[in-house]
Order: sequence, then structure tokens, then C-alpha cells
Amino acid sequence: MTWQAACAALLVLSLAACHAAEDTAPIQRFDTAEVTLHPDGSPPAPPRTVSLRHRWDSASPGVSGEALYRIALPALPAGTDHALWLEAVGNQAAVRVNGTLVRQLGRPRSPFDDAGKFGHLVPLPAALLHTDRPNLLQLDVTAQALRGGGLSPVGLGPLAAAEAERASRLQRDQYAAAAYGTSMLLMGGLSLGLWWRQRVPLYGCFGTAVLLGSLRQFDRLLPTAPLPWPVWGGLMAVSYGVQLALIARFVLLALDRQPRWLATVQRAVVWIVAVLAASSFALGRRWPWDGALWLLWAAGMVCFAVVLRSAFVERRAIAWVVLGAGSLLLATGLHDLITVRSAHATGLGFPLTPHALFFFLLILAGLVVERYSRTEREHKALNEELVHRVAERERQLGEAFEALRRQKEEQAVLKERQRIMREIHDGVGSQLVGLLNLVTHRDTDPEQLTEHVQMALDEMRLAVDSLQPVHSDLATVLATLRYRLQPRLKAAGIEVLWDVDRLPPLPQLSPESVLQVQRILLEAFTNVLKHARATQVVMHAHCSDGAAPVIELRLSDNGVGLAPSDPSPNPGRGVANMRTRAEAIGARLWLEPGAGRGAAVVLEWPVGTA
Amino acid sequence: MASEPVSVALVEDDAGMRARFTRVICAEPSLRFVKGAANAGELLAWFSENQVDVLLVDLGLPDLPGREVIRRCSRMQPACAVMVITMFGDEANMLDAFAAGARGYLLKDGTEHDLATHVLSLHAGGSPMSPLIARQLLARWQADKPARPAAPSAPAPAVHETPPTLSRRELEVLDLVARGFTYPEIAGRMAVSVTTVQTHVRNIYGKLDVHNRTEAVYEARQIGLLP
Repeated sequence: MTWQAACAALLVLSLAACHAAEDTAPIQRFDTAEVTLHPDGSPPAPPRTVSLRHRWDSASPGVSGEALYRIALPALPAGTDHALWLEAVGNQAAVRVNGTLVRQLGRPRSPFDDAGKFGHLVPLPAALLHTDRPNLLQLDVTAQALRGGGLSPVGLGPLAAAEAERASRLQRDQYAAAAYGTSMLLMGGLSLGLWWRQRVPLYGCFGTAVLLGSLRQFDRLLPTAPLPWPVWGGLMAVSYGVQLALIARFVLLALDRQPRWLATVQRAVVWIVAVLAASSFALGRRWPWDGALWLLWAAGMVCFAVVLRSAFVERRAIAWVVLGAGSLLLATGLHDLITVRSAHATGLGFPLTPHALFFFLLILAGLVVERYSRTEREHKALNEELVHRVAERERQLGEAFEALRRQKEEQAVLKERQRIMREIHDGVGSQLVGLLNLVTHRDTDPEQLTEHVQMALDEMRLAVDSLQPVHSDLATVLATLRYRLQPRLKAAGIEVLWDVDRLPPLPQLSPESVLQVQRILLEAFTNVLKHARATQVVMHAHCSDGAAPVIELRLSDNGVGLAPSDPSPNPGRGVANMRTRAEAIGARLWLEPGAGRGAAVVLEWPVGTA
Repeated sequence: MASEPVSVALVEDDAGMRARFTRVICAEPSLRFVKGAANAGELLAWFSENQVDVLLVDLGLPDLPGREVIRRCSRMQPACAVMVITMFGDEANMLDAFAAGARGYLLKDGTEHDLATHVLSLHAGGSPMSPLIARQLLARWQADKPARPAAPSAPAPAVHETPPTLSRRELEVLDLVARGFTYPEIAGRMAVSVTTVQTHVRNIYGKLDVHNRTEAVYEARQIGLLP
């Protein structure tokens, strides 16, 4: 909260500076004057003595006119340069000393010129002054309705002292107005920029209020208004009123205490104040503007109540800050009400409200910054939260995926394990059981035993070979079988003619189907070895072209053929087995007579069948 | 056939199997049995002091992995032909053994009486190759071809830097072996002599050795063991 501390320090310093400059000038003040009022449309009133500061609007409400002020100045000694210090005289004035025009302040009745905004230093030519008797100061003032015309106490003193007075006044009012106006312009611009990007009502509300406020500050620096009176006056009044209404609205927005009805009321207040202020100047009547001020006061009280509640009941730090600054604003408002309005009693008073208002705006700007950075923080946090959640979700997804993959893997392994177990059981297992059976018979032929052991070994080798990677190449499966059987065929005196083409990759070539193919061919080879009495066997493999390619395997021999007098004990069973195996892999198998003599086993296997 | 019989040593932890091999070798006049070791330690101790033509190695030794035995022996006596004794001749073990320097293998399939033929054939320079191994080698070399880019920071033109590629003829041999053709059939199809086919096969095995070494160098470089 350093910015708030800085604001407080600034305010204290500026107030102290103002007060320090107020007294100790060797300037003589004249607090009374004889005035002749001549409101337009009425006869001139008889001269009377009034105390200064004298307000035209109080004396002649709602009309324009002329006022002739006369002040008797003492005899002024020669040798020093004398000057008048007119803190405020308006709205236009002709300054005469002893009947001679010394200075014309503003063109008479000009709707653009307002001499009352500035203090005026009027040097008095020594030639015009009486050194031995009183001098007469005469101010021909023209004033317009509601324009704040009139006359402040008149100062008279040495030129140097008057210069010092003017400098201090300049510092107090003009410089402050310039600084405030510029700062407010900056704050408003920034805030409206934020609003333009983000459309948060809070920023728009504050930006508009501050920009309107800056308009009023800059007005104090303009000797000539850009628009004629009373249009310009109306504009200023509207901007002032709307600024205050918007500030009330902003406070509630900043506190996030925004019941729907209150928001509606506040919006209405903004418009009503604008209309009242405008109509006041359009009609040249004071009461609509007074009404607007009352309305603002009421809105301010509602706002104050909400802030109080927020501070005391809900104990919110932000409410305390607003409350502090708002109280200061109200206190200075009270101060101004007493000292500035009842200027008769205290002489020179100066309004504190602009300073307090600026301070209040600074606090509010702090709120805007606070809100903005909070939103930023929230966005950042939200962003981080989102990133975190995305990562978390990603991780969960990854885990789920991994679990699924592992599960699939385990299932595949389990399935394969079960298959291998089944193979061992059905293949080598049954062979060994049969072998055991043979061995227990005393009179078993050793040759038959050897054959049986050979079959068990073959079975085991086939099982092992079927587990080797063959890269979807059926030719390699055939080749492996030949590699195993070649020595036996050679020993049996059977010549092998090998006619195996390059075969297309078979996606369906799993270890299971490899084993089936091997068993079919082993059966066929064994038949040739045992029964065919052949001297030659031809292994033929090729793939038909076309849209649905088919692999054809043909094992033919030149043996005894398919004679019905086949000596095989159960010729049908082997073939039936082979057929079943072929069907299991989606192939077709049949026997046919060989070319000339012998027989052939043919297997047709479409590429791509599961 | 050379007048001098081929000397054969054997390492096999199974006593029964060792005895059968010993009997078969001793029964063969063209072979001379010189040593039967029961484990790698015994063999290596003997091997460092004795020369032998052919060494039969069982892969499942209790004290040292078979391929380590092969690697050490083929380094000690490059002239010695190392032959693996195996039950199945499965491609993973075989490729390992060949990469380590083995030049042949013998299946324990009850055809030990052919042992002499195999040993003599190996001694004469003929390495056997099963279709499964040929298929595996084809797949391996084909996968290698596009995969491995030139090593990014290969500074020295070392001999083993790039994996050796197979010649067209060698690939042809592999393809035919994988499809089940015997060496004589391959020789006929390619219109070369059987000896040439055997040379191709031996060269392929040799490149497999180099191939593996290169892979090792590549991997060592990857993990930062080598510059």
C-alpha cells in the first residue's frame, strides 16, 4: 500500500505549502465596498456598503447585469510603486483609479471572457495617485447569471509584495490545476485504454469520471472559454456532476457490492444529474443545479453507507481505504462549505475540495491498479491451473493407455503360453505317451521304437521351428522343413526336386499356422517315405497373380500312387487330418493322381485369409 | 582328402553326449580326437597351449556363455574352425554364435553319424546355413540399409566404421537359401561352382561378425564410451 502512503504525504505537503503562503504579506486588504447593483431589466439599486467577497449570483439570482464597486483607498506616499491585487473579479471589469481607466479585464459582457478565474495584478501609475488625500478605486463589473461573478477582497500594497502574492496564488491554483488536469488526463486515458481492451465496467467508469474531472481542471487555466456562456458553463456543470455520480458508482463497483437495483439507480442518477445541470444553465436558473447537487449528495450517502457496512461489518481492507479517502473528501467539502461560502467572516479562504478530490481519485486509481493486477494474477493462476489440469489429464490418459497396453500384452503372452502348452500336450506329449506304451511291451520291434522316437523328435522340432521368426515368408517355412528332412530323404534314396518361387508375404503366417502347414507337409513327406516307394519327390510352390492371389503348394511323387490296394493300414486317417489342418488355416487340400504315376497332395491357400 | 587326419576338440558339459561324440569321432579314421572338456575353463586352459583344427562347442556351458567361449577361442586360434553343437539351431542363438566367430553348427538330432561329414566339410571351408538364419539375415540387412545414416562425426576412416553391405550375389545366395535350395542347387541356378557359393556364405558370416562389431562401436559411441 505504498502508493496510498505516497498520496497522503503529497496531500499533506501541498496543504502545508498553501497555508504557509497565506499570511504575512504586507498587503493592505479592503473587505468592504460601496456597490451599486444594476441587474438587467430593473432600475439600478441605491448604493450600499457590502462586505467582500461579494457574489453577484447571491445578490441578483438568475439575471445578468452590472455592478459598480467603489472603494476608498488611503493616500499613497510617493516613492514606491503601488499595485492592486484582485484575487477574483468577474466576470468582466474595468478598473479605474480616481476616474481614469487603468485596466480593462475582459471585454464587457463577453460570453467567452471570464476575468474571475484568475487573480489580477494591476500596477497603479504614480501620476494618477494622490499622495495627500484618499484615492478612489472604482470597478465597473459586468456579471452573467450563474457565472460566479462578484468581487473578492481587494489588496493594495507595494508592487513587489503584490507580485509575491500573485506568484503564490499562481502556484496554489494554476499550477495545481495544471498538474491535476494532466495527471487526471493520464489516469483517465490509461483506464479507458484498459476498458477498451477488456470492457470491464469498473475501468470505463473510472476513466470517464477522471477525464471529466480533468476537463474542469483545464477550464481553470483558460482565460477564454472555447464555447460561449452559458453553454460552456453548462458543459462544466454537467461534467462535474456526472464525474461525482460516476465516482459513487465506481466505489460500489470496486467493492463488488452491486445489487441490481442500486446499479439501476446509479445509472439513473448519472443521467438525471446531467439533465439537471444542463437545464440549469439552459434556463438560467439555479434550482435545477441545486437539485442535482442534492441528488449527488443523496447518492453519496448511499454509497457511504455501503462502504461503511463493507468496512465495519465485513472488515474489508479495501473498504477502509475508500472510507478514509472518502471521509477526507467529505471533511474538505465541509471545510469549503464553511470557509469559502461564508467568506465574509474569514476573508481569503481557498477551497480544499479539488485537492481532496484529486487525492481521492489517486486512491481510486490505486484501486484500478489493484483490480487490474488482481485480475492478472487470477488469469495467471487460472492459466497455471489449466496447464496443470491438462498435464494431469494427459498423465492419466498415458497411464490408462499404458495399462491397456500392458493388459493386452499380458493377454497376448498368456494366449501364446496356452497355445504352446497345448502344442506340447497334443504333440510331443502324446508321442511320448505312445512311446511309453511301446516300451512297456517286451516284444516291441526296435525299428518301430526308433520310428516313434523320430516322430517325437520331429514333432518337437516342428514346434520349435514354428516359433522362429519367418518374416511372413511361407517359402522359408517350406525350406526349414526340407532342411530338417533332407538327410532322411537322402538316406531313403529319394531325390528332391525343389521348385519354390518367391512367394508374397503372408500376413496371416502366425506360429500356429506355420505349425499347421509344417504338420501337413510332414505328414505328406512321411507318407511318401513310408508308403509310396518313390524315387523322386517334387515340391512345387507358386502364387497365382490377380486380385485375389492364391498360393498353391503341390507335393508330388513318382511312387505307387493312389491305388485302391494301398497297403497303408489306415490311409484315410492321415488325409483327413491334413484336411482338418488345412481348413483350420483357411486353406483347401486334396489328393490327386500324379502326372503319369504317383500321387500329389495339393494345398491352396488364399493370400490374406485370417 | 588330406592324408593328415583333422584334429577335433570338444567342450560339452553333458557327460553322455560328450561320450557319444567322442565315440563317433574316434570311430572315424579321417578325424583325430584330441580333447574332450567338460567346461569352458578346462577347455580354455588346454586351448591356450594346444592347436586344433576343429573345435566343437556346446552353447549351454555352466561357467561361461557359449559365445564368449567362441569369441576367445577364435581370437586365440583364428585358423581353428569353431562349430556349435545345438539342439535346435534356433536363429537367435546361431546368429549370436556366428557373430562371435563360429563357422558351423551341428544339430543334436540323432544324426551324429554324419558328424564326420560335417566336420570335414567345415574344415574344407563349407559353412552350413539354415533357411531361418538366411531369412533373418536378409531381414536384418534390408532393415539396415535405409535406417542407419552415415555416422555424424566419423573422423577416422576406420575399416569398421560403416557396416559392410552385402553384394548382390551374396543377397541372391541368402534369398535362395531362405527358400530352401541346397548349395549345389544354388550353384546351378547362379551358374557358379559350389565352392563359390560356400565362399559367399563364409563371407556373409564374416560380415555378420564385422556388422556386429560396428554395431557395438556405434552403440558405444552413442552411450559415450568411445570418442
